[in-house]
Amino acid sequence: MSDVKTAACLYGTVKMSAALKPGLGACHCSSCRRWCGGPLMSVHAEGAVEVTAGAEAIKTYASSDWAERAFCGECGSGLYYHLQPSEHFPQGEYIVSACLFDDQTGFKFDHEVFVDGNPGWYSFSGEETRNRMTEADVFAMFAPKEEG
Amino acid sequence: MESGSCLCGAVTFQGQRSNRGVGVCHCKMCRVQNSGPLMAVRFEGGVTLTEARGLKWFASSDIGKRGFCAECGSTLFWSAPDAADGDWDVSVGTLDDAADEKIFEHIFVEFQPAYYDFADDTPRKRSDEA
Ligand SMILES: [Zn+2]
Ligand SMILES: [Zn+2]
Repeated sequence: MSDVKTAACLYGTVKMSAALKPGLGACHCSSCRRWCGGPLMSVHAEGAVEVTAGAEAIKTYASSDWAERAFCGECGSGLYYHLQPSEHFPQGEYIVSACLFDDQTGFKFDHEVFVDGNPGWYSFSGEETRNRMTEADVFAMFAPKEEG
Repeated sequence: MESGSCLCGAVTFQGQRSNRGVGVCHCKMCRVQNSGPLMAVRFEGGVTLTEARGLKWFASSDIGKRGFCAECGSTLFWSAPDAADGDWDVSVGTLDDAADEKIFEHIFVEFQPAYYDFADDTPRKRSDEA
């Protein structure tokens, strides 16, 4: 089951729509915290994000060999983190800033990733209610499965 | 002396930290630009840019403008429109050393979505109290 929602950057130049997987996460890795100043709060799209306006304003930055970060070049809003397509993830994965969505109903903060990247002086309440993954847990989830 | 940069290095800066601590803003503009609440510190005597080629400002409202890196998209600074050059709030994540910080308040909390909260017990202020 997925839920199609619309999203926009701060100035409204970039507009997107995406079918969303359930759940909302926070990433504490040092790249996310440098990119957006604190933990990145995101939702996962089902398939690709559809850009409905302002495609020419979107800029991307390859922050690693396996992912790029997209933002609005006009207003600086972070848009999405795109895990590049791979053998095991043919479309890649679009991890979209949760804050861009006009309708936030149904968002359920149910996971945190790179929890070992959190420097430790801030935390979200209710940790015990969420799936909390370390860097090793995340890489194990996306790594190719061992054959036989 | 403290230093910081965006993710790609096209904006770097240095300065002297104030001991105010980290203020967290939950307003919608901050959350939309930063993909989450803005977590910011202040510099005593302002920020000195040591590399500014990526820096771009966006006037998000009559009361503020936001500085980001146009090459990598990192969000770095918040400034009042009439602030002196360098008299900016600095996103704590852009500091090279942000290992030991302390939150001192949360502001614009009436705009904070109900699905998250922070665990600290520092003051929560609405926009009319901030
Ligand atoms: Zn924009
Ligand atoms: Zn940059």
